[in-house]
Amino acid sequence: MSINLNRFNRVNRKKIFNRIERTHKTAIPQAPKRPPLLHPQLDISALTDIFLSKFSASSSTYQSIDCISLVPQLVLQYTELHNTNKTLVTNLQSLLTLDKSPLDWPDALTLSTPPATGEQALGLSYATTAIAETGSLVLCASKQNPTTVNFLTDHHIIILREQDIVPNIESMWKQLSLSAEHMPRAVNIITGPSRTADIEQTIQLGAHGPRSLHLLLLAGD
Amino acid sequence: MVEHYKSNPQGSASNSTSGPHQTLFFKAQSSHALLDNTLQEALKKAKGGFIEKRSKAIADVENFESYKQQAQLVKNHTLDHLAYYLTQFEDNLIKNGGQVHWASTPEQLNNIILHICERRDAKSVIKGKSMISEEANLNAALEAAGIDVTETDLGEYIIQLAKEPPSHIIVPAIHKTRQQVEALFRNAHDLGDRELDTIAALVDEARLQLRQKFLNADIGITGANMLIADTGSAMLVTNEGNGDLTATLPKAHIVTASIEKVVPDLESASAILRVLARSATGQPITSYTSLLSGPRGIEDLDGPEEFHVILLDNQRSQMLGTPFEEMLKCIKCGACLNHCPIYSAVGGHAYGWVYPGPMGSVLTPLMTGLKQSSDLPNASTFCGRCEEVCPMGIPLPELLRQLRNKEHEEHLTPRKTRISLQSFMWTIQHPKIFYWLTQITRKVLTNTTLSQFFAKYIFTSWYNSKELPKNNSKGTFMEQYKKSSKQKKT
Ligand code: SF4
Repeated sequence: MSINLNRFNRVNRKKIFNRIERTHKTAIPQAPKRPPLLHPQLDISALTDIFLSKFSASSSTYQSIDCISLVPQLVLQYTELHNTNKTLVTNLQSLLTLDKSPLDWPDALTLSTPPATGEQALGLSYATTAIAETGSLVLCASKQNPTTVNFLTDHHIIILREQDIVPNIESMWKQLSLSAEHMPRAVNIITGPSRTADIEQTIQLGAHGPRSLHLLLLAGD
Repeated sequence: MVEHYKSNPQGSASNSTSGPHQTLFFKAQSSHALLDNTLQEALKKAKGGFIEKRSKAIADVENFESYKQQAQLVKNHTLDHLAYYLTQFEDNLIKNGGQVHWASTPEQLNNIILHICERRDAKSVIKGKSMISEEANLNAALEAAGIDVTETDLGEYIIQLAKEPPSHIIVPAIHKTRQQVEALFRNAHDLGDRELDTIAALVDEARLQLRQKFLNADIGITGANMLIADTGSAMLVTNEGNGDLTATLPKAHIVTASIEKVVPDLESASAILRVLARSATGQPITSYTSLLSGPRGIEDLDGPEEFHVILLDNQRSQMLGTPFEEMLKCIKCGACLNHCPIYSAVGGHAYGWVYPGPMGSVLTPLMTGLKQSSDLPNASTFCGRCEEVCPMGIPLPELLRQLRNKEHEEHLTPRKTRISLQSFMWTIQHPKIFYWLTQITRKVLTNTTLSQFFAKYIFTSWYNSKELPKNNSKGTFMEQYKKSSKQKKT
């Protein structure tokens, strides 16, 4: 069943393009101009409130904090609230860049470094930006923020700086300033915990990914 | 206009993968569906829920009509320059370290996947939901090659256990009740005496079983909701997170997508995202929207080593430049299914192929051949709700009408219908005879015994489910018209 994949692709590609081009939809050498698009406008002065109300509507919870050093205690409290085992996967580096002093983790928590393996109950990550329009947190895959932490843990805690909230989806892409030359492997827009309504259209949280999503909102700068 | 479009010009190749032509038996399958009590119970539960959620989501935003317009602008523009954007997507994905493959037919898509599996010596594959792989009946091809394949979207997993095709494009197991799901799980999993009597327990059971599959699979296959040309990325929209696990954990990730999924840039994608989830599930956005751009880099701690995108044509390029080009704007949101009186009555399986409801009644004949699915364009009351709710403004009733025309031209309509239509045509071209016939018909209708006789013995099946209205008119339209104009003159 062995095929010469390169040749196969070349031939098929040509056939498909021939069929497309037969309809005068030809490949133009220079870029066609996409018509300008409208974006929904939001009240900039109320971004945080809009964001938080949408975020809560996605069955997520949040806490405002004014200092990053509070994180370890809050994580511990969260394990108690959800009655989970006290295992946490996180890449501390990302947190340390927020604040020069290392975090003081309580002994009760067992920490491991990513990638997540499915054995850790909690994951802690850092959102690059957040969208007020939809109440979403946006995480870019990197050494600091590996994707498995977002999906393999039972409970996901995310830190966001309030000043990183942007109005709409378009402004989020702009904020990330992505380009074909510099693309993170994955950008995850996360809006609430994992859910399914596949059985009798009844919404059930925690289908395959985290059962709960908690935000620690780091106030002002 | 319609002549440009030749049904299935690439031969019957695309059909052989979809097994026997179930699309031929729409009528029989719908009668069966209407008598299936469990199915009717499941459909009744589903009905309304989606409609309500969608209308709430739309009421929540200021101007959904303007959102729709932006999304349609994007698609119209992209289809006008499809070759350009496909080339741009390909170039950028390669820059990102990904590999692009091209398939004209569903078989070719399967062959490419089998080739990758063979080269990687893959024994097990996990899948996120992909309608393109349903088009190709990929699971059967993988199984035939001895590869263990597991669907991970809960709905898809349920129907995989039941060995059934999906019955809805976004909720594939909408036709199953919780009792049926429980029975399927008891049969497939080693459960001991664990209870499975709540939906929560069922979801947990699937999570537990599928976790191991995720961690052990060699290759992950997902669909894509959009392909972004200027960043070379695939965009994946899910609620369960299964798509992301499928895209992240195995050593190779294969994206199956059709050529019309490409959009120019992230701003364009945003316009479509804004209407997609609202139309589909009534959410402003789904739990997870992910932009995937290639294999893991040197710095990354997770992600696949190989990233492939397979682009499938399967008749789509033939729709360009015809009235059916409109169908390529479809973003597979399912709103037209949820609002269709026919779909709500018979469910998805009656349609016989992977795409049911109004969008399926247009797409299936275009992809599998009109001859194989000649009932489908007629599975519509032309009530127009599908067009009204379609975020992409696709004129579904008009497209169905065009297909009906084509059927007539190609002599695919049943003899009975043809003869009736022809006699009707002949009659209305002869006004005297038409006038005389309407007078007789009125007499029959105003006479209870006679009209009952006709309803009972001549048009038996039509009046089985319908009532003949009482007619108390004082004459045919022409009789009354003449009378009133005479009165005016005097
Ligand atoms: S035809 Fe329109 S309503 Fe139906 S699935 Fe496609 S986009 Fe949605």
